[in-house]
Amino acid sequence: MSYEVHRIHDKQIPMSNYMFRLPAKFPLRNKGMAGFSIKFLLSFILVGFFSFNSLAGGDPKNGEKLFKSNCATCHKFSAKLTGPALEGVLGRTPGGKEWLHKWIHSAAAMVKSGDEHAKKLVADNAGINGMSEFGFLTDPEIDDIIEWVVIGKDPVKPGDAVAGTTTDGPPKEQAGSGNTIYYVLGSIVLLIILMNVFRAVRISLQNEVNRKKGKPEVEEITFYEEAKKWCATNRRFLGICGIVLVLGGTKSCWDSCFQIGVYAHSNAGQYMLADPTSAKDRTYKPEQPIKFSHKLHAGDNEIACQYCHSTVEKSKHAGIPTVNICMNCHKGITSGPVYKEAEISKIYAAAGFNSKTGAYDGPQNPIKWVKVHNLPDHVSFSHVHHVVVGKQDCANCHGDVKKMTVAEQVSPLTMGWCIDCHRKTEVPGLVADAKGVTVNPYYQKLHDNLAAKYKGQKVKLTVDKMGGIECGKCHY
Amino acid sequence: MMKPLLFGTLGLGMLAGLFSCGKKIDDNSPGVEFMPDMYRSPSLEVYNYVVTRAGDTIWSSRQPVAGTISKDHLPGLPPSVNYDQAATYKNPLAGVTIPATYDKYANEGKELFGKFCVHCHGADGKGEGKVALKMPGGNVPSYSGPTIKDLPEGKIFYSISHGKGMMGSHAAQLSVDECCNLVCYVQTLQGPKTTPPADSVKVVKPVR
Repeated sequence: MSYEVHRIHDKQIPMSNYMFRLPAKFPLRNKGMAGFSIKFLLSFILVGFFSFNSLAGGDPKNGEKLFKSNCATCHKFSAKLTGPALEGVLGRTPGGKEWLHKWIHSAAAMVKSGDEHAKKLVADNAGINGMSEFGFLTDPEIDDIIEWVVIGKDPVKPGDAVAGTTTDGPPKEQAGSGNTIYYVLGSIVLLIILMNVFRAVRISLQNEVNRKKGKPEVEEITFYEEAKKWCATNRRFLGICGIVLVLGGTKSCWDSCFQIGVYAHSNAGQYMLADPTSAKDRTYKPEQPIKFSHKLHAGDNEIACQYCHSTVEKSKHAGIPTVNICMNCHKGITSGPVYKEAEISKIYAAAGFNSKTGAYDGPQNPIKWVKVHNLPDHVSFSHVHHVVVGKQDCANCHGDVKKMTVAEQVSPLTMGWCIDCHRKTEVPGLVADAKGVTVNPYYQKLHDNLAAKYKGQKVKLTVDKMGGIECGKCHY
Repeated sequence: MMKPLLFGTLGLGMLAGLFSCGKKIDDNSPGVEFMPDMYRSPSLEVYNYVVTRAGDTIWSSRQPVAGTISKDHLPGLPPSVNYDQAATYKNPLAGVTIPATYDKYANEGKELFGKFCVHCHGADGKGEGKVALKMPGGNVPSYSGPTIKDLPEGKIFYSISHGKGMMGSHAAQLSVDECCNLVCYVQTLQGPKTTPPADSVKVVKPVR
């Protein structure tokens, strides 16, 4: 099939053949074509052969391939993405296929030539810098794409169709056990009151019986005296109870001592070994305003930590990403694997983004993230020193974040922990260490000085040997 | 009569005191801090906010004053320049004639590429990153593909700093210098151009 055939066909029956083939898909916007029967029949008889020939030439399979590699980045069928939705594009384009050919080849040239529809398209989709030029696409290839657009549909993603197939579902609510002790104590008080009441009832009943039988009344003793008598006869039981209570209380006090200071795993860094039910391995993992999963972003999708925490190599603080960084990906990705649209729509609300029109027209509200890693004011810690100069990996202090659904603090961030690390960590000189950490010629001078000072002895250059535990380094 | 009551209450109170020291399961609590006001500073810290008495929320991260120029950085494209006009701008780092220096810039760009681009554009710039597969349409154009193979450096710079299509602006994450380094590396991924690049007219800034 040649291009010439196309042109004949396009001129004589611009769209009616599509209507004939796919009446449901084709919007009847073009009123001139609505009453198509006579016109269609006439043209069908005239160039019927060519028309079907040309349709067969527009290969939707090839069109699909081309569409996915060239157009799908910006266009969807049913919704606006960067460019407008393509459903019914032929119907609303005045120049039909021929116009589209020119537009796809060079949108900018069309605007320059003063084409009304081209100008309107650019005005309607302002702020997207115009459509890319696809001069490399041949005319038959564009026909293939148009064919695919006419019959195509948005692909249904496997994750969207079947809900609840993902392995990690929403985190379960933790049962609150903090109030149990008050229930126990409350019931003890209630029991004592009940015991008193029943004792009074028992004594009065006993007296009633005794009076009827003519026996003397039960001699009156106080509750305290009776309890004392009971205690005297059950000493061993009471002693055991006392020991159990005191030991239990002491144990809970001991456990609670571990809560002073900030929470951290007892084996920081080995995240998976920690036992979340143990008081020693409790971590601080506050609920965030958006259920953001580091496992999904950094783990499954392999986004580098520095992409979002981009100031980590430039500043004291690693930085909490602003909403525009979320939007770099979530402008396109509107549904997550676990919470679907629910959580991602919170980003849109924060950015003032309208996902239907693709415009930032709403009010903006910053997300109130809860800070997890917190240092007291009298400590000066700099990320850039540790990451850029010290070449420390993020996981050394923050644990295996790539496995965390909720961000948590695995390291205690106490002074002892800092100093421990400074004492253990060796500083590489010109010789790379086992991990292949890049050498630093600056430190080689220190290595040489140390070697000269301790001749014949094996000395390791650790951080503390070069002033890493001086007070003024962190407290000033 | 008062004595047993007193002892009873005292004993119960002590027990309650003992048990109340026990652990509470609350992930939202950071635990008992030695000096809470040192941890939760009343001062306005970075990435934080205070609520005033009037009920307004004041954030510490604020927009810099309009017209602020960052220190020690190359100036970017003039604000009035659009995508098409950007094509005439030249990468100041690419202006060097010594290939070794260019390679140095490209290497720095490669490191940045691994952190800021690879999850969408893929390690080889073919657009096969893990995030790209989740994008609608499931693809990102390949650098060496026909659409952007011959993209001039000014337009590459514009796309990184201002965003293009589905890609958002990365000006918040990357300085102008870093963008220029990235442009150098992206150009190596584009492969040989099919047409010789148009003569560049303007230069953003002379070479450092």
